[in-house]
Amino acid sequence: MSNEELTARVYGVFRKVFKNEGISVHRETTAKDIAGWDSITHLDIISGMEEEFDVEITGFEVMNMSNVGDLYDLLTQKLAE
Amino acid sequence: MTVISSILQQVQQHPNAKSITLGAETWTYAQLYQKSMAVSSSLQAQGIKNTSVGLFTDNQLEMYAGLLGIWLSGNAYVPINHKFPKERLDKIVQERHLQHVLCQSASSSEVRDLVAALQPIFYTDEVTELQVAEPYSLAYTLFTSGSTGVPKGIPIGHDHLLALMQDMWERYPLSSGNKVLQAFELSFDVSIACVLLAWTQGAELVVADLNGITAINAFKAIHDHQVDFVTLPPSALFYLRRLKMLKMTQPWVTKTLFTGEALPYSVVQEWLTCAVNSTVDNAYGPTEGTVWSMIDALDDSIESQLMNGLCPIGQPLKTIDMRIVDEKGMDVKEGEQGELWIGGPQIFHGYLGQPEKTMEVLFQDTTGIYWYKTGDIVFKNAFGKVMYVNRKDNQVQVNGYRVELGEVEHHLRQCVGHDAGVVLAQQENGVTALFAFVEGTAEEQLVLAAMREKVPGYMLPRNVFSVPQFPINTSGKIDKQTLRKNYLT
Repeated sequence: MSNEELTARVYGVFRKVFKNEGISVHRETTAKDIAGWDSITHLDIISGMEEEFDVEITGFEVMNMSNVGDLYDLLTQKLAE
Repeated sequence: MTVISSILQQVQQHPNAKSITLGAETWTYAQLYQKSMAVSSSLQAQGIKNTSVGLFTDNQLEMYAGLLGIWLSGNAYVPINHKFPKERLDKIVQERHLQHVLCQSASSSEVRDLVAALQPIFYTDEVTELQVAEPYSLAYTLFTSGSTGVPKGIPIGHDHLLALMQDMWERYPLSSGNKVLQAFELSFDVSIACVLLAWTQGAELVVADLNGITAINAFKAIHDHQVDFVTLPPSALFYLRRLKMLKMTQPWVTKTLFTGEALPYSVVQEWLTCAVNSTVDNAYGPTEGTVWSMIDALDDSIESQLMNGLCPIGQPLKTIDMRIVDEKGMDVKEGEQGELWIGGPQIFHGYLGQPEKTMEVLFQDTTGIYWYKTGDIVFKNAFGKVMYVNRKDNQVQVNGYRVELGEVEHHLRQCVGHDAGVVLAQQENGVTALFAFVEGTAEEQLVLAAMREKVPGYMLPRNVFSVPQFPINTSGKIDKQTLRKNYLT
């Protein structure tokens, strides 16, 4: 999968979770940057990524994510496995 | 005596003990005092006294020094939660007549955007005023959901906090060897109980990151710092289970306090597979009664006490009186259901600027004791413990926060521009979520975008359903059961 495709699909999940087509997400984006990004939406993002990419993400992996870039890197790593 | 003097006593007795930890950063009690006195100096130098000061809640160590510093300067704090929409913060500022907000200089632009009316006061390390001011009678004001769309301000005084702590000190004696988890927003009153449990007894407060999934961050803090005193909402287990965290045992946890939501016993059982050495208490209380009013220490008889799988809320704290009454305000017979009224020195003295709302729920008896009508329907079981049954109104708990469905409906109707809007709460895997229904056609994205400007995240519906025509029941009202059946099952 190309980086462009991965990026597009990651951002697609964000748009779906936040029900906002115009949402702006980049590697440095954190939960602080988007209104309404709380525990339940964070879990929706994780679940959405698991479904979109057919991978499993554990809480220990979630613990180590500090921004969208970390999520992107984790997905890249899982898809390469 | 106040909780402030108790904290200062700990500073004197254990200056080198750890007072607070967040991630890799730790302050001793001496450092906490130094930072807090710097805040106090700033406020005193500007002549700010006997009033309320906004406290910008970025959950940094400085914010906790800010809380104590505001108290040391003879003022009270009002959390300015940066996760709340501007419109809600504006109402809080207006209701409490705030003029100042304490924040980091790095947050100044965010603070200006959110609460432009407030003058920022920045943290400093400079201590210019060595005197601790006489405490203000008020400790904090928290704002909770109000059915009319205006948040209700609940002022809590130092005498209320001291009454709470009289029970806490006896029930949960801690010392400098203990580590207390703090995983709640400052705008939620359980946070101050966690802070005081630690700081008034010389224990270490371990603060969890509050961004992302709070339950996961709390678990990380418990694990990384080997926390022994843990307070969590029951819904935290949903996240830990879903993300497969419970396989990692946390043997250092010796006490777990579940609070903020009804406690299913299945949650306790699951948690104890992880916190293998912990005892569990269930703590209940409305903000009006100063954090907690009833606590149940779960014992061997718990399985025979469950109702619908839920644990009892137990018995009143030592400073709380309790009555269970019928619709006429008469005590019900032993074992019968009725509304829970709580009284005593922990009970607030009225909502801020809302005398009519206050009169509905608060009264003083002939001896001068304040009584609060909780709106919770309960009964006393055969073990003498109180069981929660349901609410007598439209209030629900979402992530521990109290939400009046009427308030969410008020904003929903404003956003869609007509009166045909309904909000229902539904439990999904132990987590309560809100769902909005609009008669006719509503663009979900646009409605949610408009609501984000008005309500905090925990009050935002997960979905907005467009319903061609609302079903009506035999009383001529919107048939919520049918809506629930047709859209949520």
